[in-house]
Amino acid sequence: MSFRALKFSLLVLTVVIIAAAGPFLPSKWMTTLMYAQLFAVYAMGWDILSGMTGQISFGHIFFVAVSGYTTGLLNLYLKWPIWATVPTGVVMAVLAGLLFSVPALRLRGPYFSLVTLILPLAAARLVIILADWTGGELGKFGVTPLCQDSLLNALDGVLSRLHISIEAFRLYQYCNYYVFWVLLALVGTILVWLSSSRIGKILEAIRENEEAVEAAGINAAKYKIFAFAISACVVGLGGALSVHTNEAVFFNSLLSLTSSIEMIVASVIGGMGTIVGALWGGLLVRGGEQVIRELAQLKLPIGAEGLALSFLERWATFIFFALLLVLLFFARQGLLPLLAGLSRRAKRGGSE
Amino acid sequence: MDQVLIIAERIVIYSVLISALYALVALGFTLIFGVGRVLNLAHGAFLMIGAYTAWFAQQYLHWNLYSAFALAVAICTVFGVIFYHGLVRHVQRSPIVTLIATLACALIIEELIKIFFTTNTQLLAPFVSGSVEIHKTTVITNRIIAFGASWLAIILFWIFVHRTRWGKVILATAQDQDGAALVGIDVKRVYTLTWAISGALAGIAGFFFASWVKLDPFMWRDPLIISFAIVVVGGLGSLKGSIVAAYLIGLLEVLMTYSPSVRICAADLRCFEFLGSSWVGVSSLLVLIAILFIKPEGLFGRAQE
Amino acid sequence: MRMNRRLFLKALGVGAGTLTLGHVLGWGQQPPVKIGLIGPIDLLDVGRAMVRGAQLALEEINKLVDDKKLPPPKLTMDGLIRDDQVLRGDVARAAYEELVEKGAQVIVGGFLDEAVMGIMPSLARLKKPFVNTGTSGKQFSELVKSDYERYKYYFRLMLNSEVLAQDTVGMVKGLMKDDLGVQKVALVMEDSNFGRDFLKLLQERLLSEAGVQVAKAINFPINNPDFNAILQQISDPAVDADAIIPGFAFNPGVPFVGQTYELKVDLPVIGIITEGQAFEYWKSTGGRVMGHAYADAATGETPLTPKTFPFFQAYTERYGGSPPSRPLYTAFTTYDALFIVKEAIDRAKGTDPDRLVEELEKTDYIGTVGRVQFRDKNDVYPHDPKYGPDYVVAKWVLWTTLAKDPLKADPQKDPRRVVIWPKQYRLRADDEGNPISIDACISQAAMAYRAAVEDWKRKGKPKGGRFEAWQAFARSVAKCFAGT
Repeated sequence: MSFRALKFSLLVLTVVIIAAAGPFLPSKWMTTLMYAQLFAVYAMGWDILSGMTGQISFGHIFFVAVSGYTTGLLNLYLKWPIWATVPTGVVMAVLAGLLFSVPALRLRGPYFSLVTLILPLAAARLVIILADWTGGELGKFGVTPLCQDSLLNALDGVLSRLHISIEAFRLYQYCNYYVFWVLLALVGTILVWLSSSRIGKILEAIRENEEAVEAAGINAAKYKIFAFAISACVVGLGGALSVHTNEAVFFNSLLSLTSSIEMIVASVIGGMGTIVGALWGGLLVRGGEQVIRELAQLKLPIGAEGLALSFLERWATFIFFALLLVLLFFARQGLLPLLAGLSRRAKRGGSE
Repeated sequence: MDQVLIIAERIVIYSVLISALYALVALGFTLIFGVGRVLNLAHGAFLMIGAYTAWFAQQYLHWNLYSAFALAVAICTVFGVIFYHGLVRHVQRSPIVTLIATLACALIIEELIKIFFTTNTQLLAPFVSGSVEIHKTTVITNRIIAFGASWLAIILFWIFVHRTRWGKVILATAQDQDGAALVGIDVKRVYTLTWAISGALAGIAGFFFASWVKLDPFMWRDPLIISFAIVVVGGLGSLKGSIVAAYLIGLLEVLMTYSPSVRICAADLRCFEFLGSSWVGVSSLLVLIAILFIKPEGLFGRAQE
Repeated sequence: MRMNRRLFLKALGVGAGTLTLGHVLGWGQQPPVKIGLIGPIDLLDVGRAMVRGAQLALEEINKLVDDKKLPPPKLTMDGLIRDDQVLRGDVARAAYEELVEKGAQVIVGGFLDEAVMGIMPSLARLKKPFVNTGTSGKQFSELVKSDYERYKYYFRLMLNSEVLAQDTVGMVKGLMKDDLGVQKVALVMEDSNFGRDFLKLLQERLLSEAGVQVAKAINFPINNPDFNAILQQISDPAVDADAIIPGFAFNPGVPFVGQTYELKVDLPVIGIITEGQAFEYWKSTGGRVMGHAYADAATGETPLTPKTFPFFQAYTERYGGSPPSRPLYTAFTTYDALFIVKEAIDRAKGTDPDRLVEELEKTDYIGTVGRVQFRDKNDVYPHDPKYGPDYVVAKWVLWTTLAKDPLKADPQKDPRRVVIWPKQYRLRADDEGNPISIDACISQAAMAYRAAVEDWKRKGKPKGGRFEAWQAFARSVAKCFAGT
C-alpha cells in the first residue's frame, strides 16, 4: 500500500469510527469529542502550513481569533445569521493569512516563528483595549447557537416520522457532534488529498530545500502563500463554528497561547506533515486529557492534609509534555510514519 | 514647564533602570543564539529556576539573601550545562525540533513549579529595603542595586569575551563553527562553556527580575518575550544590538506609562483608549512586528545568509 | 410511592412526628440527593476552599438529618467533583453534562467567568440548577434577565462587580471620609473588564455620592505589574491624594503591595484586591500587606452571624495545616450554598428543576456571610443575592498584626484580619464565639489617625509620616480586636 493510500484509508477509518461511536457515547464524551474534533481540525490546519513547509508557526490561534471575533461580533451587533457570519469570518481569516504571508515570506526559520508568536499576544492586548466591543477577557455572550431550536424541532419532526424518538438534549448534542464530524471529514479529505497531490510534494520539497525548488523553476513563494491561505481558512472555519457552539466569543478559547502550542504538540505526536497524523494527535491530546481526568477523581471525604488529589491528576500536564520530549527524542517522525514503517516491515517480513 | 522637566527626568531614570535589567535578561539568550545558533525558548524558565531557588533557600532553608543569590546562580549554571548535554546537543541539528523541545522543557518546568510551590504569587525579599530620592524622583533602592548588578555582569561578560583566551575562542566559534573545529577548537567544550555562562546570567537576571516584580509559575513568559523582542530588534546574536534594543524597548514602555491617552468613542458610547498606560506592552510588540517586516535582520544584525 | 405514603400520613394530621416514626421504621430512608461541584480545585486555593466548604456543609447537614433535626433526604457529593482547569469553558461544559448524567440534581461552584460561561448553553437545556459560588461578573445575571425562562436555573451567592462598586462608594463616604478624613483619592485599576467598570463607576459617583474627589486615576495593563512610576505619580504633592483605592481582580496584587511598602507610600490602601482575601497573602508578601484593607465576603474570626464563627473554627481545626489554612470567600459561599439547596429541596419535596427554582427564589437563609435572599426576575440582576445592611454586604477587612515588626511576624500565627467597615460588623468574638462590638475602639483609633495626619501636614508632610500614622492605626485596630 502506498503512503498516500495508507493515509486515505486511515482517514476513512477514523472518520467512520467517530461517526459510528456517536450513539454509544455518554454525554460528557460527546462534548469532549466534539471539542476534540474541533481541535483536530486546528491541528490539521497547522500541519498543512507548518508541518509541510517547515515554517513553524507558534501563533496559529491568531487566525482562530480573527475568524471567531468577526463571526461573533457580526452576529451579536449586526444580527447576521450563521450562514452569513461563518463565511465572513473565514474570509477574514484568509485575508489575514494572505496579508500576513506576503511580508512573512521574507522571514526564515526562527524569525518567522517569532512573529507568529507575537501576533496573538498583540491581538490579545488589542481585544482588551477594544473591550467595549469585544467584551475583553470576559467575552460576550448571546451568539446564535449552532443548533437552533427551530433546526432541532425540524430534526425531531423528521425522526418522529421515522418512529425514532431522541431526548431533546441528546438531539442537541448529536447535532453539534455531527456538525463537527462533517467539518472534520471534509477538512481531512481535502487536506489529505492536497498533501498527496503535486502541491503537497512541492510544499515538502520546500521544507527540504527551498533553493532547489526555486532552481527547478517553481515559484516557491506562490505555493507558500497558498499554504498560508488554506491553513488560515481551515483554522478560521473551526474558530467560526466554535463561536456558535459556545454561543459566545470567549477570550481564552480564541486567543490562548496554550492552544497554539498544543496544535504543534498534536502534530508532532501524530507525525508532522502527514495531516492524518495531526488529526490523530488532536484527538489524542483532547481525549487523553479527559481520560486522565477520568482516572484521577477526587474522592470524598477529604482529610486534614488537604486535597488528596491523585498522583495522576497532579502530574497530568507534566507527563504530557514529558511524553512529547520522549517522542522528540525517539520517534521524531511521529506515530503515523512509525506505524507506516512498521507495516511496511511486517509486509516485507511476510513476503520473505 | 517645571512639571514637564520632572516628568522627563523620571522617564529617563526609570527607563535607564529597567532597560539594564532587560539587557541582562536578553544577554544569555543572545549568547546562545550567537554562538550555537540555538533559540533557547527555555531561557525564561532558566530565570524562573534562579528566582525560585533563591526564594526557596530564603523561605525554607532560612539562608541569608547573599548565599541564596549565590546558590541561585550556581544552580542555574549547572542547569545550563545539564540542559545542553541532556537535551540541546541531541536535537541541535534540527531547528524545528530544538524550538519545540526547549519550549516543552519550559512548560515542564512551569508544571513542576506549580506542583511543588502552587500557583500563588510570591515576593522575593530585596537586598536592601526602602527607597532613595534621586533629585525629584523616588526609586526603590533594590532597583538601583539591580541596575548596578546588571551592568557589572554585562561589563564582566564583555571583558571575558574580548580580553580572555576562552572569550576569543567563543568569538571564533560564533563566527565560524567549522573553521573553529578545523583549527583545533573543541567546539563541544565551547558550547558547554557558553551554556554555563548563559545559565549564570539567567540566574542573576532571574533573581533581580523576581525581586523587581514577583514570582509565579508563569513568570518565564514575560522575560522570554522581552528577550525575543530585544534580540530581534537588536539583531540576533549581536551583543551591542541587544543592549541598544533593551534601552529602546525600556524607554518605549516607560514612555507609554506617562503618555497621555486619547479616548476615542463611537456613536453608541463604546470607547477605547489610544496610547496611554494600557498600551504598555502592546506598543513594543507592534514596534517589534514593524521592525521584523522592515529590517528583518534587526538594527545591528548580520544579514541573513 | 414513599412520597404518597408520607403525604397520606400528613393528611391524617400526624405531621412531623410521623416523619420520625417513618424514619425509624425505615420508611424515610430516601436515597441521598446528589450534588455536583465544578471549580478550579487542583490549581487554585479558591477551588480547594470550595471543596472544603462543601465537605463541611455535607457532613453537618447529614448529621442534622441523622439527628432528625432536618428532614431527609441527605446530600452526597461522592464522585461528583470536577475540575474546570481554571479557564476552560469546554472542560466545564463537559463536566456539567457528566454530572447531570451521573444524577446530580444541583451543581455548585464556578470561579473564572469563562469557565462558568461555558456551562450556560448546557445549563439552559439540561435545567439542573447551578449555584455560582465564585464569580462576580455581572453578565450572568444580565443573561437571566434577557431570557428568564431559559436561564432561570442559574443562581449566585456572590455580589456582582457593579454592586461591589456601589458598596465601595458607601465605604468611601462612611469609612474614608467621615472616619478617616479623606478628601481626595487616587484610583489604581487594572486594565480588565472589572477594573475598567470599577473605575468608571467610581469616577462617576465618588464626588456626587460620597463627596470625595478623584485626584488621579490610573489604568495599568494586566501583564505589566511595575508600580514604581505609578506610585510616584499618585504620591506627587501636586496630586495631593489622601488614599489609594486599588481594583485588581486578575492581576496579582503582590508586586503592588511589595512596592507600596518599599516606597513607604504616604497613602493608606483600601480597595479590592481579589487575591488579598487569602490568609496566605501575608506570607506571600512577607508581611508587607500590613495596613492594607480589602473587600471580602467574611473573615471567620469576626462573628458576622451566629454561623460564621463555628464554621471558621470547624474549618481551621480540620484544614488549618495546608493552604488555604483559613476559609477563603468561596468556602463560605459554597458552605452556605449547600444549606440553601438543602432547604429548597425540602420545601420543594423533591428535585424537579422548576420546583427547585421556585423554592430557591423563596430562599431566606441566614448564612455565614449574612442573610441571603435572591433578587426576583424583575430586578436588574435577577438571582443575585440581595444587597444591603439587612442582607449581604461587602466587608472591608484590614490586615494587621500585634507583632512589632510585620516583616518578622509568624505568618501562621500573627496576622489578624479585622472587619473595619461596615460599622455593624466591627466585632470580635469572645471565648464562646459571641460577638462583642469594637466600634468605639476603632473609632478612637481613627480619631487618633486623623490627629496624626493633621500633625503631619503641619510639619510639611515629611516622607513616610502618614505611612507610619496608618501603620499605627492598623496596630491599634489589632489591639481592639485582641480586646486589650
